[in-house]
Amino acid sequence: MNRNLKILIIVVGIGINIIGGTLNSALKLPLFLDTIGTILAAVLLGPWLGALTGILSNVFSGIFTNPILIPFALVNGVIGLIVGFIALKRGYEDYVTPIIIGLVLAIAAPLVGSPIAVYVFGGLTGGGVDIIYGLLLGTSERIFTSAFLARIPTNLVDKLISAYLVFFIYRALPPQWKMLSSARREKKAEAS
Amino acid sequence: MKSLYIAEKGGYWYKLPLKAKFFSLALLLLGILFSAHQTVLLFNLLVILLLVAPGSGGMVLLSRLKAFFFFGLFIIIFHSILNPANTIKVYFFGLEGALYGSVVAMRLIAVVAIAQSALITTPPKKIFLLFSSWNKDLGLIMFLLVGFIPVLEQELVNTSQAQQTRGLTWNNIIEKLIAYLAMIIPVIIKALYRAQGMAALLFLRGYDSQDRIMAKRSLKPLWVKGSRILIVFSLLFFLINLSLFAGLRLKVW
Amino acid sequence: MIRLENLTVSYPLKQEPVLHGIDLVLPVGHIGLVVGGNDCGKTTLLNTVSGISATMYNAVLQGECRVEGKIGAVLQDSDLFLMPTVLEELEFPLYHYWQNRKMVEERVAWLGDKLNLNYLMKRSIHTLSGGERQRVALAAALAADAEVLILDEPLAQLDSLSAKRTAAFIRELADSGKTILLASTNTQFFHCITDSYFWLDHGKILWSGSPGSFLTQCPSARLKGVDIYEYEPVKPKAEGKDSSRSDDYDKGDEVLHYSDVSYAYDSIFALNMINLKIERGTTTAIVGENGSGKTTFLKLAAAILKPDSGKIAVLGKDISKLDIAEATADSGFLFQNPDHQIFQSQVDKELAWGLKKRGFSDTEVRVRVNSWLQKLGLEKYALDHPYALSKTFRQWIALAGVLVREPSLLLLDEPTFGMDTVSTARFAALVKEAAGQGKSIVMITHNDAIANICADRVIKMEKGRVLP
Repeated sequence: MNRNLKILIIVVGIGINIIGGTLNSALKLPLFLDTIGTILAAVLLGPWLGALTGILSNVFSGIFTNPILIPFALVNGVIGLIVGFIALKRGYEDYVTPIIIGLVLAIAAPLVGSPIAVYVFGGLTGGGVDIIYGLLLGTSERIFTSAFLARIPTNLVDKLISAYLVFFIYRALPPQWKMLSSARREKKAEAS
Repeated sequence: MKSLYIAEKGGYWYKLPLKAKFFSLALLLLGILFSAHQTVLLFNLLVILLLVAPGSGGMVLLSRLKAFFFFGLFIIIFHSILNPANTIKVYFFGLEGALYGSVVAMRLIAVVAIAQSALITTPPKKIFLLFSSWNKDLGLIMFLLVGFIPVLEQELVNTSQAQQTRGLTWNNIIEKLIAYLAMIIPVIIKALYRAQGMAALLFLRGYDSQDRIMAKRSLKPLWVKGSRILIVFSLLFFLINLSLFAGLRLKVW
Repeated sequence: MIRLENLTVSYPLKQEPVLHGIDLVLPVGHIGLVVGGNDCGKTTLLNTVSGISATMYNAVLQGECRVEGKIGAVLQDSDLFLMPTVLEELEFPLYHYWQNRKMVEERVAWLGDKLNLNYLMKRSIHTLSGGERQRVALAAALAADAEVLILDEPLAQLDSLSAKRTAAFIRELADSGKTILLASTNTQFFHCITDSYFWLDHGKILWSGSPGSFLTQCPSARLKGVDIYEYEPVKPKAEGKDSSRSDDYDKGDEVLHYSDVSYAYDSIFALNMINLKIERGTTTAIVGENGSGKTTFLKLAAAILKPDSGKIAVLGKDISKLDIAEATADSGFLFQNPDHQIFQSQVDKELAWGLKKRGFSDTEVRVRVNSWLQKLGLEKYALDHPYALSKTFRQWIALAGVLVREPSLLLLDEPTFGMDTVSTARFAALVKEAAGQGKSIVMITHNDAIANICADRVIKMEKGRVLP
């Protein structure tokens, strides 16, 4: 694929992350939906550029709105990486792939995110998750484990729904765009 | 787009050359992260606030930190009650938890103060040029985004209006998710076609990733009188913290 | 110079080549104009010459395509831009010279003078009007001092005064030694500046020669969508004069009633105390300059915007307390850009979606979708992805999406924007047919011909007011 187009798809991915989050709050959905663009970019561009999309997304929002988002770029990057590899292996056209992606991300995102959150915020979010966190702290006696477990339910719902939304978005794309990711899969199949 | 940058207030952080500013702030940040003990961290936080606040518009910085002061307080209270390490208790406030919470809170405030002072005194454009000097495509992505986001926002408004005139409503969560798709899909498809057009435009305007010229623009030399003092100070700050860390935590001494 | 010999261009997902056996020679200092209707291959031809067909769209080229000199181009979609502000946009192509600050500043100042952009330099491009953006696009194409200029519809969004000025400037550029290739459906402003015409139809050059002899030698060009003549200026028409149509609906019954309506964006009045009644069963055209409040006027009628003061009744119902979906229960709104609403992956699903949202039964949906696809000649494309078709087709699809509900009031914002004469005529026929069935139509248009042919009444707006 053309290098300029890759650059621009990364730009679109970051833009969709931001707009997706805006739309989520405009519709008053009880989710985040701010990694749609990372997932889509990872499907179209593969794992490494997908990870770059995720990382730059947080860096850009960090510079413009709140610098504390920057350490969490790692989470967004890992999301791009994981989705990219799974999409490379399975494509993104069957109903099962989004479940796999949603489940893997529901574990992976908090696995990367909670150590950062524990270090930066003492594991707190300033939201409803803190109640679960507090309850878990009372029983499990481990800060990291509690912060990690507390984040799984919200992530599970958010990432599963995100993965399915991207699935429907991907299906609605014109054929030329789907060719981008299928061409990459064929290349990979030839190489191996 | 609205950013965290605030036009010049006359503080000395504004006057420093970009690379010197970011270099010394990075050293200060590392110093904070390597703070070895809570009293050292408290001292470090005071040093940072005294160094950073007057140079970057003072009150502006403090007002941006206000939310983090409250959040820091919340962290301390939360951990003093619920931290599993609590053994010594005053009523139901545990000392170990309070200590843990206050370390996190002080570190958070110091880190945010450093980052905010950089962003208050530097327009995003200059930060992106710094990215360009490192990797040209990276800087370009940031510049393109600044122009792209308002277009996407406008497209989202238009699409939402158009879909509503066709009867789109949302009252429960399933309808909301469908509405989300009905609005985001046209925006994404248009964005991808726009991306294609912009990629063509990049080609036509002679953009070449391999060409390294763009980077050299307007980045002033690193060593400028005045910035040297700051860099030496930051370096000392970092080294003292590092050696304290090595001594107290890693027991090197 | 530009030399194309027996050039054939095809795209990977399409079986038919888009261009067949093109021969075209344009010497240095000449202006060539490619004329033709929508989807005749103009844009592909220009993109091939500028090199982006092959590099960006993976087109396969056969034959010879030689261009001597550096290329600058304005793409068909002039809303595209790269950088946040005008100044950065103009500096961007000059980044090779950034070490030479003075040279860059001089170049930008020259462009600013020539295209009247100096007062816009600090503005964000997304806040500019269409015409201003068009001028920025042209300036950016010129910035790097290219020898060959490829300009696709460079005057599309300009008003007639700046179109004339820009056309004269393009001639000046050619006289200073640039080779310029233009494309347009409309020859109006290019007639006196162009050296040669290339009439393109279905991917073939049917005729080439000097502008003067085009009219006499190719009278059939107009039937293929090329707009050669200037239209008569629009005549304001009085209310309800048209008595030729059947009278089986209630006249005097109002479809739109605005009383003392005002609307302001950021405390600047877009509409100022509008009082207006539009009768049921009439076709009304709203004309006026950009920024005169036309679109605001129309959006108020669909409750997309809420008036700051005053009352609006649509089809006898006060819409001030209704949301958009309720207010448009029996009216249809067509946005200027068809792409705002298209989101299904098939044309037929796209038409069905709006009906389902309005609670039509499945069989009713099927019947209506099929009949309207047939009526608009889209049945061949029912299963295609809307974006696999051209923009003109998507305009028809968006229009079909509105008509398929058969609402009694149609609100159309620039429905023929970018259409050639053939499509415009087809659109006019559709409007007349709908009006014949007793539907009320309110449309914004820049196309005087449409206003003349279809409308019973023409409302002229200026600075947020309705002119008497």
